[in-house]
Amino acid sequence: MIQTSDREIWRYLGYRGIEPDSKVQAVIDEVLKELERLVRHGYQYRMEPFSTESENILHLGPITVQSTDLAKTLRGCSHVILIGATLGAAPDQLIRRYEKTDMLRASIAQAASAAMIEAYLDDVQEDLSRTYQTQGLYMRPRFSPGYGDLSLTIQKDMLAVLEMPKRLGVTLTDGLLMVPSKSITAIIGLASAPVSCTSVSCALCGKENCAYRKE
Amino acid sequence: MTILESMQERLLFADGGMGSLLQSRGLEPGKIGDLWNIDRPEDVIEIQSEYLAAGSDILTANTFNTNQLKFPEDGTYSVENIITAAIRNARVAMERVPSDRARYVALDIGPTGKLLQPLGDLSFYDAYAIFARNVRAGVKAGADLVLIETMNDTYEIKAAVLAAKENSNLPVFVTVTFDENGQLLTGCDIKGVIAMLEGLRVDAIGMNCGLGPVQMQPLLDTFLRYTSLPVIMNPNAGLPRTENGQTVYDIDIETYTREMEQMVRKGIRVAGGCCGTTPAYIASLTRTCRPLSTPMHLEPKQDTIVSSYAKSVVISDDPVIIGERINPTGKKKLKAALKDRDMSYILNEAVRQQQSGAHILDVNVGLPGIDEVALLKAVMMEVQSVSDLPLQLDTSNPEAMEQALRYYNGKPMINSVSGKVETMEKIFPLVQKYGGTVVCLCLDDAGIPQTADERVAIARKIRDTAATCGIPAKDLIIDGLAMTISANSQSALVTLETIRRVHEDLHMHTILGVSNISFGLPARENINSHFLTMAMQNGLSAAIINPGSEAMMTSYYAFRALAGLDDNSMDYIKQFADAAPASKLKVVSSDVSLSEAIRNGLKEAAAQAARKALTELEPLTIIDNDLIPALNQVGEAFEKKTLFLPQLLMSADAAKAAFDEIRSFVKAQGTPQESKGTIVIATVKDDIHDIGKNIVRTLLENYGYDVIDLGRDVPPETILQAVQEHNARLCGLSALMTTTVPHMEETIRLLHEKAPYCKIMVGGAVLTQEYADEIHADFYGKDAMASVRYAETVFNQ
Repeated sequence: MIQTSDREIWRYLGYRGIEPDSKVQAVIDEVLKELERLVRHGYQYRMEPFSTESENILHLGPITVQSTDLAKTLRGCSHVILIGATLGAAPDQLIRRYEKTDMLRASIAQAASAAMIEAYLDDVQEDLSRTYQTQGLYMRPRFSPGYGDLSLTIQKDMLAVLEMPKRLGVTLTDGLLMVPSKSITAIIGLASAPVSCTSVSCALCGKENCAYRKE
Repeated sequence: MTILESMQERLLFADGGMGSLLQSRGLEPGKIGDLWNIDRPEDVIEIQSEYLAAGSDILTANTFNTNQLKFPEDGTYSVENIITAAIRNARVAMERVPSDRARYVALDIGPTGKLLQPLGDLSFYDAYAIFARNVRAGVKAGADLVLIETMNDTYEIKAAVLAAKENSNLPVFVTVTFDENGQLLTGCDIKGVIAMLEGLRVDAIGMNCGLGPVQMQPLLDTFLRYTSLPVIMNPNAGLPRTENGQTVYDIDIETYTREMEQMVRKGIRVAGGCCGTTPAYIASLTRTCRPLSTPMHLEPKQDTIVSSYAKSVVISDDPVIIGERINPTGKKKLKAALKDRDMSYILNEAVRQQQSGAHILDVNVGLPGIDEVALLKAVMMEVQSVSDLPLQLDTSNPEAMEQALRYYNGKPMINSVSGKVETMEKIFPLVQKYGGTVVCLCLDDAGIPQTADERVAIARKIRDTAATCGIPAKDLIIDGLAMTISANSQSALVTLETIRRVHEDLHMHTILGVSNISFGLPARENINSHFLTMAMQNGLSAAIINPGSEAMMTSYYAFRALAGLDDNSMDYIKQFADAAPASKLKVVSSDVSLSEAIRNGLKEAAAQAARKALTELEPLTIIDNDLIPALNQVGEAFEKKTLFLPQLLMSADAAKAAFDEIRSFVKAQGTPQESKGTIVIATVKDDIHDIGKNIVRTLLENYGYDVIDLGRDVPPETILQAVQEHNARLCGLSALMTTTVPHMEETIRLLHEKAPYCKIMVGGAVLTQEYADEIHADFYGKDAMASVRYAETVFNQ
């Protein structure tokens, strides 16, 4: 089971400096249990060689992208992991049902499933990290399309290369958003020298006004 | 000899994987191999020749990814050209590798690559059009059958099957991709998939991709247990595993062959492979299994199953509850809701009935003067977006029935036909085309018979007529007709005898609209609940009742426990073990003031306090002195960040409960309610995040505004139209992605030009004051409360 942290759920709900009262927490617990019963998660990844053509033109195996921010994260890397993960359609179905009947539960299901998909990818990443360490490769923090200056248009290639529609049922809308929405794609650098942390770092992202930015 | 004829005689072998073989010949990962039909036909022909040499009887044309979403251009790489080339390549391969056996080319249809509404943004209608184009091209190019494969969403499958059947006379084979639990992406189980596909009259069904033969083995058992159709199995070469970052499959040829042999012995009719399998796998498969080939012998299964996109319900000797609440007959509030198209009232009814224990929901929107064709479809689709229960489509209008059947996601119940020839002539062809389990009323042109003999005779007649239309008796449910005992004291006995004899003599399922039995009597639940017990004792399979009625549900759970249908009385215990404390809770909250109830987010208490206040005060006084000030206090605390979104929403919910009380009070008095103003809100085009917008809607409604919510992914023109139509002075737009803000800007430009009287407020995670100014919004709302404050200034001017 995915260990979703309450703190992250609270953060997505907008709590700052205060914890929810017992009434709200009881609803959070209930919704989280419901989600845990319903979600069917999965992931797909590939390891690809990494090279740079110029300052900001990067080759991630078969995918070529332009991004200064991603270039920063991947500096010194020899390989990248392209990864996609999803909680399946159940969170969207649940949120949709609650939106019509109970906005409190809808917003909690939204926050809890957002926290859960991140936690899931954290778990997957930790496992992969251990595997690659035995090969002398160390992971960088994950970086997703839409972070900083990395355009969402790369999602088309990410989904195709990872065969996400076929393997995970994850597809793109015309506006390049993933559905089911509780899905993540990410690029993770692999280098022969370790860096201090492997979790997502908000400091790397230029969106300083982001509501969910971690201090 | 057609493929269906060959399948009668012998076991058929399909081919194996294509993508990975193309990749080994240089196709880059992520690139579409279908282009090679035109660019490198020799490679495709060589691979397919190898499969033929390995013994494949069916070649899957290399068209899995071909559709107009992926190939929108006309010209060289048009859908038609790729499909024509693909089928030609397969034929060339067959010329090169001759055989005595008849062999077939399948037009391969894979998923569109987009998720259908309501989860995604592709409409059922558009999905149908995409598939139809492929089918027409495939027919023209000379395909022998249509193979719809690797499908993981029932709605997309239905669109593809209808497209195949309405645009060709070719046999239609369907294979779907389950996870290890035997569920599709949207949650549908094996029984549900089989029910829908058999209903749609496809020719063969099965599984492919996703899993290896080892994991498919137990799923196959369930498949064979429930389907009456020939079964196809095209598993992967095991489960995919990433090795050095590349996908590999975990079983070898020997294991694959051994597992497939077992499947053949279990009775599958088409054996092949999917990802990771190669001509070597297929060669080993045909070598081992062709000698096991036998003529086809299929056993028709007798299970009655209805389904939704996520659930299947088996109708059997263990009775099921059909919720009757979405039917306007005798329900004032629902009538009003249908006339005003107030979906939220209807959807709440759906969810409430599901929570009360209904297994299937009846949907009836029949009202004089209403466009039933459009409304039944619309309500049905909305209900399916919030409830995963199978539905019973209930209309006497055949056109409304056809539209609803076409757009229904799953295999529904159909309510109803009778012994009248006319109803059967109109409805049975629809059942034969779309599938469904039909409620059959035991009445005919002569009216409702007074004896069980005559009713059973009508049931027989309906059964025989259905059989001539290819509808098996298992898909009919006989309604014994409950008629009130206040008119005829013998009528319950006639109904019960009809139920018993249909059950025992005809071996068919039965259904009753239970509450009719007590029409005209006081305290109807007494009669209804006991009659329900008696009917179940006589073999009733489905009861149309109000699942919110405690007495009825008590009868239901008690009967199941007594009749040995509830193992260890688990359902009964679950239902009644904690029954006592619930009533206590109500007492505790009774003496809270309206203001307190709202501030503390107590829904029940708020409604109660509002009811009490209405006995003493004017509705407007309550709103102005208690309701709004309480909401304001909560809003201010939210703005000061001493409380957060969940409490704000709990208070909003409580306020809504109070508002609802006040509204129905005012309505009962007949004085028209004054609106504080109309606001149009929407999430802009291409953006599918709408939870923020929905929170804004909730708050605005609680402050007494009429909110026209256009939903998500709304084009600028639609927003303008709504603003003009409602003469709205305020419009709220939401966008969550930087990529969709340009659509917001476009919408603002259009509104400012064509509806300059309308102020525009914007919000969403990516927006800032500067950004909002840049795109010329009138106001930037940093949170939901801010939008309420702005609405107040706009409408107080």
